[in-house]
Amino acid sequence: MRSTFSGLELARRALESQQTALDTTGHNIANANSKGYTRQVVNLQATIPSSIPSMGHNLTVGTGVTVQGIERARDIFVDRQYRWENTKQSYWSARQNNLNQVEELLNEPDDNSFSNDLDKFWNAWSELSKNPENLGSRSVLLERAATLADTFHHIDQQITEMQKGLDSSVRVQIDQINVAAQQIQELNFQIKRSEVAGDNPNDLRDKRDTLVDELSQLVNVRVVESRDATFKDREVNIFKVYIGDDKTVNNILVDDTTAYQLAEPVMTGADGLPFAEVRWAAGHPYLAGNTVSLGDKMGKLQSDLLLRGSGYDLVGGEDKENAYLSDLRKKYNDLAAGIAETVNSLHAGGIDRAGNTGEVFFDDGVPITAANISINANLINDPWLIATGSVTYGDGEVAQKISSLSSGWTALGGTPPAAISAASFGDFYGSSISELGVDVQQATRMAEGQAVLVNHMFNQRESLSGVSLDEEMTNLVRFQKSYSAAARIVTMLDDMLNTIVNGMGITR
Amino acid sequence: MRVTNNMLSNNLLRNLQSAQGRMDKLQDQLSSGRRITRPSDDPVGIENALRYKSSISHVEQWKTNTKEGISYLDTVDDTLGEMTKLIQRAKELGLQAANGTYSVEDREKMAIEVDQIKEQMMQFANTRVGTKYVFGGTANVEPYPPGSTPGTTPWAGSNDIMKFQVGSNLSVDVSVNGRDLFGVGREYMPDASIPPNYTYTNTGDMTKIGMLGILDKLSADLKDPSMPKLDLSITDLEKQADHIVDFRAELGARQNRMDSIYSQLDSTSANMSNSLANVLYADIAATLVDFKTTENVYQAALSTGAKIIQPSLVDFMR
Repeated sequence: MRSTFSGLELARRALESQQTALDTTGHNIANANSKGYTRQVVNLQATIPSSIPSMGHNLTVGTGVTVQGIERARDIFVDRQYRWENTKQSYWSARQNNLNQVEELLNEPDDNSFSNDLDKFWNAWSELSKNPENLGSRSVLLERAATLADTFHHIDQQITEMQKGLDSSVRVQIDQINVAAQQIQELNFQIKRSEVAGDNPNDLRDKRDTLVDELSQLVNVRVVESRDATFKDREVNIFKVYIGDDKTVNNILVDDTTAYQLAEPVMTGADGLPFAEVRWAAGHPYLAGNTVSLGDKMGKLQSDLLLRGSGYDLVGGEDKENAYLSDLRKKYNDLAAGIAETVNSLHAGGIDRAGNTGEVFFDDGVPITAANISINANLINDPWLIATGSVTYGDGEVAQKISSLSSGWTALGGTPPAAISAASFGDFYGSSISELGVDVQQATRMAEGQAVLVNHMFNQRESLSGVSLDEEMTNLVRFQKSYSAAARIVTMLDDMLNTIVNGMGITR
Repeated sequence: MRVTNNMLSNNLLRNLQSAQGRMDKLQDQLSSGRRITRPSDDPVGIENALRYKSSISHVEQWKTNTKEGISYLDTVDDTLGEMTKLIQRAKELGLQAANGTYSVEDREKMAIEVDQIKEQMMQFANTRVGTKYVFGGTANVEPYPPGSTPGTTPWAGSNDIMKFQVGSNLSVDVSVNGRDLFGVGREYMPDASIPPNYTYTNTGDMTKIGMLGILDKLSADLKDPSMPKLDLSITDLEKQADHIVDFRAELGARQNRMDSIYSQLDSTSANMSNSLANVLYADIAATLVDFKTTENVYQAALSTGAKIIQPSLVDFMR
C-alpha cells in the first residue's frame, strides 16, 4: 500500500525540476550574447520507480522526475578544430597587417618614393655631364644625392621602428600567455573543487575554454583532459594545456593545478638588442631555459618573431622566411653599398675642375649601409671637387658613366657590384618590391582563406553551443506549461486529501 | 543544422565587412586613378610599372640633352656660316687689291677692313652657348683664343669634342674641334718667308698658323708699300672657305642624326607612357561599374540584415 502523500512528493519534485529547467532557460537567454557562453541543457530523468505488490504480482509505479544534471552542449572536437584554424588565421592576419605596414612604408608606386629619388639621382649626373662647368648642375646633383641618402635613412629608421614595435608586441604576448596560464590554473583549481563535491561547474568551464580560445590566437594550443584516477566514484578531471609545436611533447603550460611561465625576454646589448626567441622560465619541469618551439606558421607570436628577425643593425645572414625585416634591411644595405661603391669607384677615376683625380663621392663607411650612407662633406663644401671628366673635367665622361649605371653595368665593364644580382639597381629594387607584393598577396590570401575556415568552425560550434532565442522561448513555454500542470496535480491532491480528511467517515 | 541568432549576426557582419572592404579598395582605385596602389595589388605589374617609370624618366633626361645638343649644333652651324661670309669678304678684298689699280693708301684701307674681319673672326671663335665656348672642346670655359692678340698666347681650348649623353651608353659630339677649324693653314712665318707648300700644321700654337694667321698675312701684305702679290693669300682663303664647308657638311650630318635620335626618344617615351598607363592606371569606367555593383551588394546585405536580425519568437508571444 502506497503512502497517501506520495503523490504530493511527486508533484513537488515535478515543480522543482520544471523550475530548474525554467531557471536554466532564463540563464541561457540572459547569456545569449555572452562571449564563450555554452548553452546549458537540463537533463530531466524519471526517478526510480517504486514497486508495489498487487494481487500476487508487483506493479511498477512511476515516482516522477528529477534533474539528473545541467550539462553544456559542447563538442571538444569542434573546439580543437576551431582553435587550430584560429591559430593559423591569426598567424596570417598578423603577417598581413605587418606586411601592409611595410608596403605603406615603401610607398610604391607613389611619386614620392625611393625609385623616383634614385632616377632623379642618375638624371642629375646626366645633366651634370652636359654642363660640368655649371655650379648649378653640381648643386642640383648634391641635392638629389642628399635626398637619396635621406630616403635610405628614412627607410632604415622605419624598419627599426617596426622591429621595435614587434618587440613590444612580443613582450605583451608573452605577458598575455603567462597571465592566461595563471588564470587557467586558478580555474582548474576551482573546477576541481566543485567536481570533487559532485557539482558540474559549467560556467567556470566556459570561462576556461574562452581563455584557451584566446590563447589559441597567440600560439598553437593543445588541451588534454583526462579522468583523475584518485576519484573512482565521481567524475573529476585533470586539465592540461600544451602550447607550441605539437611534435614537442614536453611543452606544457598548465598541468592541472600548476601553471608554468614563459621567461621575460632579455634585452641585451647597448642598443636594447635583439631577442628573437621565446624561452621557458626557470621552474619548467622539462624545458626550463629552452626555446619554445612554436610549430609551423602558428599564431601571432610566431608571426611577429619571424617578421622581426634579429638585430636592428644586422647587415646580412638571415633568410626572408625567418627574418623578414632583417632581410629587407639587408636588401637596402646592399643597394646603398652597391650604389655608393660603384659611384665612388667611377668618381675616383675622374678629374675635378682643378685637374685632380676625384675623391670619394659617398663617405666610405665600413661597411656602407642604408643607415650610414652620406655624401663626402668636402664635395658639399666645394662642389667643384665633383669629378666629371676622364681627361679634363669638361668632357663629362665620368658623369655620363655614372649616369649610365641607371640602366646597367656597361660602365663597370659588365660586372655587377657584389650582392646586386640584377640587370641594374632599378631592377634589383623593382624585383624586391615585386617580391614584397607577392608576400603580401600570399599573406592576404591565406588570411582570408583561414578566416573562412575559422568562420566555418565558429558556426559549427555556434550551431551546437550557441543560444537560439526561438528555441529558448519554446522551452520557456514548454517548461512553464509543465510547471502549471504540476501545480494542478497539487491542487487535485489537495482536493483528494480534503475528501479523505474532511469527508470520509462522516455520516449524517 | 541548428541555427542560432549569433550565427546570423556573425555571418551578416562578416559579409558586410567584406563588401565594405571591396568598396574601400575600389574607392581607393577611383580616387587615385590607379589600378595598382600598392605592390600587392599586382606584384608583376608593379615591377613593370617601376621599370617603365624609371625608363621614362631617363628618356626624358636624354630628350632634354638631345634638345640642348641640337641647339648647340645649330649655333655652331650658324657661326660657321657667318665665318664663311667673312672669309669670302676677305677674299674679295684680296682680289680687288690684286687688280693693281689701287694705290698704297687704298690698300691701307683694305688692310684695315681685313683687320676688322680678323677681329670679328676672333669673336666668332669665342662664340658661346650659355657659359660654354663652343669651339673650346671640353675645355669650354676658356675663350679661344685667349687674349685678343693671336701670336702671343698659346691655345687654351681642348682638342676633345664636347659630347652629350643621348642614351644609356650613347653620346653624340655636339661641337667641332676648334683647333682643326682655326688652326689649319699655311705656316705663316713672321719674317714673311713663305714655305712652298700648303702645310696642315696643327701644333696648337697660334703664333704661326691657321685662319687668323692667313688674315694677318693678308693684312700685312696689303699694308706693305712694296705692294706684294696676293695670289697665295687668295688661294689660302679659298682653301679656308672649303675647309669651313667641310665642317658644315659634317655638322649637318650630325644635326640630322640628333633630329632622328630625338624623334626616336620621343616615340619611345610615348610608347612607354602608354605601357605604364596600361599597367598602372585604372580603367575608370570598369572600376565605376564594379563599384556600383559592390555598392548594391552592400545595400542589399544591409537591408536584409535589418530584417533578419530583428524578429524572434519573443516578438510574437504575448
